[in-house]
Amino acid sequence: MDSFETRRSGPLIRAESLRKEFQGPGGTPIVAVAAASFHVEAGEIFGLLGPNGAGKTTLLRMLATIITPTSGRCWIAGSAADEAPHAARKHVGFMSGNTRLYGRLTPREMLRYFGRLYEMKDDAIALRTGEMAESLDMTDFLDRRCDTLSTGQTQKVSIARVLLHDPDVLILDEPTLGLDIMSRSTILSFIRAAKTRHHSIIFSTHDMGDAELLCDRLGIIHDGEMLAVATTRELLAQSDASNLHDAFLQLVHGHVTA
Amino acid sequence: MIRPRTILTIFRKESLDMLRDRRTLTAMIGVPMVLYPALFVFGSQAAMMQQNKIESTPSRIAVVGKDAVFVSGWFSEDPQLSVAGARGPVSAEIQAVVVLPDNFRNDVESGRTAHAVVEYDAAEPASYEASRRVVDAMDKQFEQLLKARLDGAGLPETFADPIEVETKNVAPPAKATGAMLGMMLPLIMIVMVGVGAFYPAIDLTAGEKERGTFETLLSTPTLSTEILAGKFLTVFCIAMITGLTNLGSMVATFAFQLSQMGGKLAEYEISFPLRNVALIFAALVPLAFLISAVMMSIAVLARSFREAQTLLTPVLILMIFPAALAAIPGTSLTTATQFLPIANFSLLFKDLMTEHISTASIAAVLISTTLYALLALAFAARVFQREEVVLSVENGLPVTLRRSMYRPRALPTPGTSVFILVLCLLLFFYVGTWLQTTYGLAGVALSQWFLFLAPAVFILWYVRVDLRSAFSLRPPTPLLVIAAVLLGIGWAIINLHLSVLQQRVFPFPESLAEEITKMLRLDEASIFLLIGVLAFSPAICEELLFRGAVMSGLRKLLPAWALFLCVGLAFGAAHMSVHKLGLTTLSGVLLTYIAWRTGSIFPGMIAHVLVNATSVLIDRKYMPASILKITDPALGADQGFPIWILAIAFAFFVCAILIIERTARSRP
Repeated sequence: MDSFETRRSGPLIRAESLRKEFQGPGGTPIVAVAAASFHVEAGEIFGLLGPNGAGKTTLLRMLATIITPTSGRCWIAGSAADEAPHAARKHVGFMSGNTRLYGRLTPREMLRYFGRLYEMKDDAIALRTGEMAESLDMTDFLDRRCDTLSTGQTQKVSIARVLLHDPDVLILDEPTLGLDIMSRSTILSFIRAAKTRHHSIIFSTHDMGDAELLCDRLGIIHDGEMLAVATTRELLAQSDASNLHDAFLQLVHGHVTA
Repeated sequence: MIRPRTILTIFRKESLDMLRDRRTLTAMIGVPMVLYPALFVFGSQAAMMQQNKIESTPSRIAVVGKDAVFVSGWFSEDPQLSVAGARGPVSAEIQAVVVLPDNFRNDVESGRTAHAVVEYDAAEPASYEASRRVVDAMDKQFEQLLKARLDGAGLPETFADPIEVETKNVAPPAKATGAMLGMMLPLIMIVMVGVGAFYPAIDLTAGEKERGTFETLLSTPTLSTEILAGKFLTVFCIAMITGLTNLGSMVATFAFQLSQMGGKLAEYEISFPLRNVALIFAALVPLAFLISAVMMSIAVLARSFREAQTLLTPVLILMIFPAALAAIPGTSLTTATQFLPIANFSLLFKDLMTEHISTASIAAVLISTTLYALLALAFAARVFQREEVVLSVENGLPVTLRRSMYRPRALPTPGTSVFILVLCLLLFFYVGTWLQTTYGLAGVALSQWFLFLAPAVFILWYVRVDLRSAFSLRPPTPLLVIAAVLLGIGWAIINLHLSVLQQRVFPFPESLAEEITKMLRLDEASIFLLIGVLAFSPAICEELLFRGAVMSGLRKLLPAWALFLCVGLAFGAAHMSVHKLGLTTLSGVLLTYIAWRTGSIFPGMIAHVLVNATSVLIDRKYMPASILKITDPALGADQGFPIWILAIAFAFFVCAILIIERTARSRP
């Protein structure tokens, strides 16, 4: 995976007071994300921890410019998402744990499709597909229909799709959700490898183990509020807890009772 | 900046994806290629074989009566008829029975009319054939007996035929065949284009949402307009191909059928010049464009494949009505119908098959359909740009029907609202019509409460929707009550005036009005009963159904103007009168606006009561006739209200709208 390697440095994700409101029943606004501010450096893994409905997916969708913030701004690899969403998206690789593949296409056809959408040339797509097929061990099923693939093979195709255009920023929404041990290990290896290539990675998860193991820093989000942005060690120091799980619960419960 | 290259990339991928789908291929190629030959060729061959079998099988008949022997000899000339000794009745063995009265022979011989009855079983082809043979044989006897009687009286044979009337079809064979095809083909074509667009429209929108791939697509450097354009082109092409394969298969099957008829071919000759084929193709393009755009813009509103099917099935069924207009004898393209979407294509097709039509009419159909198509596409583009619509993936309709499995919710899903609307309209059409014709005014009240309100309340309760928020049961402020009264009075007068004006161009048939008065026994009812049943009852039930159950489910999905139009049209359609459709739709739009803007069902109810009550009072002549100058003898035309009353009504109306707008803006 070296033909597209880019040198990366500095904060590749920057969010300033990002806020998102949705229209609730009867027209009352629902605040999904209140005012999130943080940054993610090149080569850093930033974990987003929070219970269901905390606003993790909404925050990640705003960073990926899939939805527009109600207020606040964010920059992806230097491009302002509100002013130049098109330029920002070119630097983003987005993946969600819920996303399936196009069942009636083969992995090769799917990669070609996304490559073209990222305005890559056909020969560059072919070269990159070959490289990733080799490194992710996909050669055997590259020309099989996606709806015949196993969960592990599907995950590999998803990873290849995300890395195809060599994005600076990887935004992963609960990428290990509902996966078996093998598929989960594929994803975790992929995240670690991305870090060594200096991608900025932000991923949301419920799993404290994954967060503790992988993340350089964590953002704790609850009811749309970003309660803390710190390293695991800082979080433990701030609370009296001995592990991340307890520290997280203290923060969330403290917020609820406050 | 829209990039054609990106659109082409999406189009190519979607086409490849859809062409690998069994359901699409079946609708696009499988059904037309197999269905028509199977229906026409095998169907007609099976019918022919059955007919041949019946025609070659002799019929056994019985003759009953004391003159049976006298008559039996008449049937011996036909080798296919044999008279059985049995006396009936009609059965598998005895296919027809000739019943003779006692004086049959006497009547025949004495120059009177002798009556005979041929009993047969119309449900049995063999029995029908036997009766035909019997009648043929007796007709031959009739000719011989008549000749003998005329000879005996010394009269010429023409004596019994004082006038001979002959009907002659002067239409060229091509026109007659064209007329037949023109009635049938457009309906099939339109429905098939709809069926062709149906599945891809769902799969490429709601299906993509359900699979979660929409989100991935939106994270790429593509514009939502490019995504829409690529997907739309795919749906459009599949709809076109489906339309054309259907047309091709029908024509090929028909031609094959004609060639099988050999000598009879000339009789069914079809003259269908290339110019007409080109014109139909030219009209098919905007039609497929329109149907694809409408289907896509609706399918994208759905949150799941299943919900999209629920929303699109009524659309497909509704398309049949304008499409079937060509099948009604006597209909053709007129100034009015050339602008009716779908109906205009259907009628253009029909007229092209039979006669020459003006270039202006053809242009009107092509241009108006293109404009409607662009309008539908613009709507689809707006929907595609709304992130909450494009990204919503929650399942709209639950898989199970158990009440406990439904999650309590404030408002119904769009699927639930559409289901309630369709169910209530069907109940009202079938059961309501029967109730009203049987029980008159009581039937009207029963239909309102039990066919409109009760099903809506029950379904919303069953799927655990909060009735208070679904029906907007929010008490209005005193100022809103005043606004509702002003609006009710103002609109009642404007509405009546408009109906008087409409009467001049599109009069409500007097006979129909009399029939309704008679059916509902309006003359016998007291004014209090009339106001209760025709004003209060519909105001409560219709508002709760249309502005409650239906509007609450659709309001999150549709932009305000589309919501007003859809709910207004549904309200207009529920009145089941072509004459009233325009004005009731207008009233429906206004009432939907009030409910939407005030967030309460009650102001609309008050206005609705006043509009209906005014109408009842004037109709039953409880208001001074001089107010509404109906039928001015000098002009012989209806005049409507004097200008000063109209000015007051208009002032009331404007005041009411201003109050509603002001109150809505200050609402927390």
